[in-house]
Amino acid sequence: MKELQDYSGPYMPDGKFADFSKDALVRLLQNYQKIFVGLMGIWNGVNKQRMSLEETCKLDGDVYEMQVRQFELPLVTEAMNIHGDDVVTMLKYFQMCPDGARKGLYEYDEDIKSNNHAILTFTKCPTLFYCERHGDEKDIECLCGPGGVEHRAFAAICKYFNPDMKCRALKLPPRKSKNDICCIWEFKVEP
Amino acid sequence: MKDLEEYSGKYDPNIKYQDFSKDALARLLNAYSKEIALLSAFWYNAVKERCGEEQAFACEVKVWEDIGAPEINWTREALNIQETDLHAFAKLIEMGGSFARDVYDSTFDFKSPDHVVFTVTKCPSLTYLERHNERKRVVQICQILEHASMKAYAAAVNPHIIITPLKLPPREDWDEKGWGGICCQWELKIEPKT
Repeated sequence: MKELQDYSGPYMPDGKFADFSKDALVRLLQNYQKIFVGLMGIWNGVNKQRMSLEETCKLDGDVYEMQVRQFELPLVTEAMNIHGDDVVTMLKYFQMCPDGARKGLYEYDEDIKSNNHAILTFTKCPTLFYCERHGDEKDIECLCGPGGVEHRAFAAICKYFNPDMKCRALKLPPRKSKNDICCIWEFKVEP
Repeated sequence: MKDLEEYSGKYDPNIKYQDFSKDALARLLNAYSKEIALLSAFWYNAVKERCGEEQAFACEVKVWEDIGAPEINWTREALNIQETDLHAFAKLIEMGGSFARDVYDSTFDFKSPDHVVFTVTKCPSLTYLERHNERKRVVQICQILEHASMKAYAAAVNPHIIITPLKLPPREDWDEKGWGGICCQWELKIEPKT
């Protein structure tokens, strides 16, 4: 059967993902990423109308931590058969999760010291850029600061792969200029 | 181009989605859509703990109303679905991240190009709530939230689509038997301009 490059043709009652080309499926994955990130952002915005920024931020962290541990990590690692307890295994998950690191979304340069030690320098972060455009410094602090949403998420992800894996922020926003990097994180297994 | 069936091998710093087989990409699509579907429950419960049920539900409805148009537009763009008819609605709903195939099952029974009956035959959310005997939540989600979000999704496809619920849970005896395997059923029409 010929692979469809898009869905501009007739409706297929029994259509399956397999009917589409790889490029079409990739575009659809990118679409699902946007929906996921969009939903997180909309919940944040809606909550802000009902509670303080601190409460909203705490809630973001709580929800992200719970859902990543209970669903995202098991779903993604199972789908892609990602198994292991070192830092580079976790980097594979970073590449595959819906709000993960890849070109056009969250981009980083990596310095892999060993399988159990890596330093990631994030150079592109649409969430930070959005906050810089629309929010104030408090938003950025809640999201990126010590104990913020990102920190809690990374800590939960590390723990899932290996209870001895730790994350440490080496540099965090706010940035001094738009040409500056976004943040730097160190991931290390420390028995 | 590589065609990896999974990512159990060595870490590749330059790996792209394109390096995986279609089967692997389909599994990832299913994983993402399950996560999207489950995300709302986490948010609802977290907000409920702080602000109470009424506020949490109001937030939930607002979120699904707000994501409707972006989701439809992103899916249009991803798969080049440009029409604004009911066939386009069917395509966009079935390929969308929050109602993906393999998570939910549904049929579209086209009576005419401007009239279709949309029947959901598998809904993990409903099954979960029935198993946990959450009748009030079923009424909230199936009768109020779904109606509001369906209207938002339909309006994003075509503002002239009129959507009417034909059959909505709670199902009798908390069981699909009396319902012929139906979870919910909706009628969509595009009324001719007068």
